[in-house]
Amino acid sequence: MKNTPTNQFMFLVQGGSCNDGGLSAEQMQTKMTEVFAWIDGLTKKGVMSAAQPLTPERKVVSGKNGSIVSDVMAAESKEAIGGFFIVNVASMDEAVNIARTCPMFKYGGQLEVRQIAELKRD
Amino acid sequence: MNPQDDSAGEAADHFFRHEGAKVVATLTAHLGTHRLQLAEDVVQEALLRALQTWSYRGVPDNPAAWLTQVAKNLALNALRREQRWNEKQEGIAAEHTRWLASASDDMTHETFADDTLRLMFVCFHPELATESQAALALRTLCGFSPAEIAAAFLTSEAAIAKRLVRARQRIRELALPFAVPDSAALSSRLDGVLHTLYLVFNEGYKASSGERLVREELCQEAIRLVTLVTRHPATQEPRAYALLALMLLNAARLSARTDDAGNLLRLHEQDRTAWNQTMIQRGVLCLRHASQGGVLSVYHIEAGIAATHCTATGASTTDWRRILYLYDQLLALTGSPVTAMNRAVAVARVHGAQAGLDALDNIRQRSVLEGNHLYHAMRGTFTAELGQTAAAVAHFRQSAKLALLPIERDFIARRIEECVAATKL
Repeated sequence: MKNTPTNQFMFLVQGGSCNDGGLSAEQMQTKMTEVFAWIDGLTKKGVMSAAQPLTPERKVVSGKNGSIVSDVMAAESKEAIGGFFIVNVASMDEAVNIARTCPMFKYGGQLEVRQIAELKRD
Repeated sequence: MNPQDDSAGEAADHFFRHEGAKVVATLTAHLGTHRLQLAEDVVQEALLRALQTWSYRGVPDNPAAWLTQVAKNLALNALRREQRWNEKQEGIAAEHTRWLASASDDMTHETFADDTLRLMFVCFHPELATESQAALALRTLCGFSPAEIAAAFLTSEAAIAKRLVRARQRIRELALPFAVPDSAALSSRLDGVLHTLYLVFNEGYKASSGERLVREELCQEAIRLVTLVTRHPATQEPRAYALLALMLLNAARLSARTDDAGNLLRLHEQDRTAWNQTMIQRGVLCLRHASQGGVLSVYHIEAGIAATHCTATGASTTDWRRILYLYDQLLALTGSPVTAMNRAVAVARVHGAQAGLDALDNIRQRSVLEGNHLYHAMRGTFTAELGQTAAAVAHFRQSAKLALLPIERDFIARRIEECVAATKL
């Protein structure tokens, strides 16, 4: 068995999504419209494969036998992953170029681009 | 979002503002006016969660219910955290808790409209300063941020924030009821509501403040709120319809008042095809509703003047006699020197420039107009029409000195150029 790269890339969206309480209702709507336009554009090109938000509640389970369960404070939510997109492209370079067109950046967000691997039996 | 489905579902214009404001009204209906701040806070958070979730998945089928449900859950959690949620309040608490924990599918358009009207009577309570009323209304009824309100009123965000805090505090102190006033008080309270909405509209309508987009939004919001007033059985009075007519008939011509470069245009220079005919038709219809009933308000007359302009086929065919007749009535009602000044334009159009000048000279409280740039521009226009070019230039120069905004000074400078060009002929 070995890890084989696929042509699927995941954009993990960090920050820039929640907790930006400084935005007015109108600015929030503008931002959503921009993201919709970005997703629609990629969907029409057949590049966008999936998108899903994550709810803000965060718990960390750790310790021996997972005995420690802790809440992540709201103050740390700036770095929280707010959701992900999966795009179909041939290379990391292409994925990065698409990620750069995401409107989240002007709202202080950042994207981590990761290639999805698949397990294959030889 | 479903990638196979092309329609991610878009939110209507100002959806976040307006739906958020509706939920603020509904939450305040159940939590009480003393918790207005809490209602605003949880709605802000609910909107953020909507933004976060919908950005990936598209707008849900019933976004208003979604927002209401999230806001209710947040409010319930906040109340549970509150230490002051003691036994004494348990009776109310149980009732609130039941509502907050209930499903939001039953929220109808009527419920939201009712709650918004009640919140309007809270925001426009006569115990609150007029400037606070306007700021609070834009915040809670229209979903504007303090920064956006500050831009509309040409003041600082900090000043607006202070006004809002003071207004909410005053509402708590007075324990204002969340209700449309009973019939004994309704008439005078409705006058207050309409008057503040009139001021908000005028703030947006006058060319002398803020940027164009903000001003147009103020006008739109005032129209939206008066429309709500005219739709409620308790408040659909003829004068409310008259105010709505006046707003629609003036807002219909808003974008034609300036050219593409942002220069102010005189009535006869405006492109009448750019006037919004849908709004004009709605305005005329409202004026018809307004005429049912014997009372003639200032709004009726001002709407009548606007309607006369709107229904004229051109500047030369405008019925200035009718406008003068309406100004006579308006002046009899208000006795205001500004009304008398505006009336002079109609006098000049009907009886000539000299009569216009005489009308200005005959204004009793003329001294209060000496600081008004429009007064001097008007004198300039009339004297120029009489061929007294040197005097006209002097009046326009005085007007330019008093004008606050570049757009107004540019307008006056063009008039002076015209006078100078005329003397060279």
